Amino acid sequence: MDTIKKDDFLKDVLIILRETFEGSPEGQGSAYLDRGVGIFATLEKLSAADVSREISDTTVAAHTEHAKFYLDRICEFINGRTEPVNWEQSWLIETVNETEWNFLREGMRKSYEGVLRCFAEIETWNEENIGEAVAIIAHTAYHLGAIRQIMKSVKHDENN
Amino acid sequence: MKTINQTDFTQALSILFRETFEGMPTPEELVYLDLDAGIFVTLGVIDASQASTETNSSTIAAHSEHARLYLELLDNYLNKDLRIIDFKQSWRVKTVGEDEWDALRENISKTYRKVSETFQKNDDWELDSITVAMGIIAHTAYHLGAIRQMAKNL
Repeated sequence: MDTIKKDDFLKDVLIILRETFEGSPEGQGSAYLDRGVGIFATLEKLSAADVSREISDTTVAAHTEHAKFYLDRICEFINGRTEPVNWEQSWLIETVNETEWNFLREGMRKSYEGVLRCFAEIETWNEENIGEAVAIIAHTAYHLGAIRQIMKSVKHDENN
Repeated sequence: MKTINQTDFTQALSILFRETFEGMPTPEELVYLDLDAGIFVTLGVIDASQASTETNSSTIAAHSEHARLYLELLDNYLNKDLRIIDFKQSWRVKTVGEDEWDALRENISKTYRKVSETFQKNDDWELDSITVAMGIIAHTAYHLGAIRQMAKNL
């Protein structure tokens, strides 16, 4: 067979995307993360002070804003954006207060919902937008891995 | 029924997989990583002692072997080899000597090449195999992010 059913592909992309953000659904197997390890559950446990603590020249807040910025921009590319992005702008946030942290987490949820809508509205999947969809997953997974390490360092510092 | 070309999926997948391990030669070709941030460059500048240094209750050697075994396991699955492997075994490596570290990195390289071939020769992508393939990239990216953060602490 030289084609993939579009519905199968969309279903698979959404499974991995949901696991990355929401974690794997209760009672079902996971594709690649341990239970309770999605973006939302990870960020929910952290205070503004935690995410503003500098560990190896970076913070959880910085990674979170960068990952959110990437989601928004890649969706724009999928929807036809052609002008280049100044990616340095994705690293402008380093520290946050509680209000800003709540706003950033809410922004992450909105961006995630934007990606779900963006994927659902794609009429024709081709090499380019398939790559962009997988890149969104890979990029978020990469920063989730980094964020969880920074989080461990912050908690370790607090306990010592 | 709406469809997607198999070759479009294979090509997009292969580009992301290559970037995850090899990185990309120029900034213009980067899709989601910075330059020199792939698995091979990242592990290439870490020695056995650094890979064995405990950071946040784990080591870079442990994450490397875990990510490698996941690759092997899912490559077996894509090749219809359904042997059951105790995945807890994937965390058995904690520290390595120089020879063991060289062997582990070489093993990652071999497994990477094997998975690349599996992706290229697959001409029947369907529900399960697409999830597995994307899971391979996501899982490796997750541990790459963790490893690079741990490396900054060394």
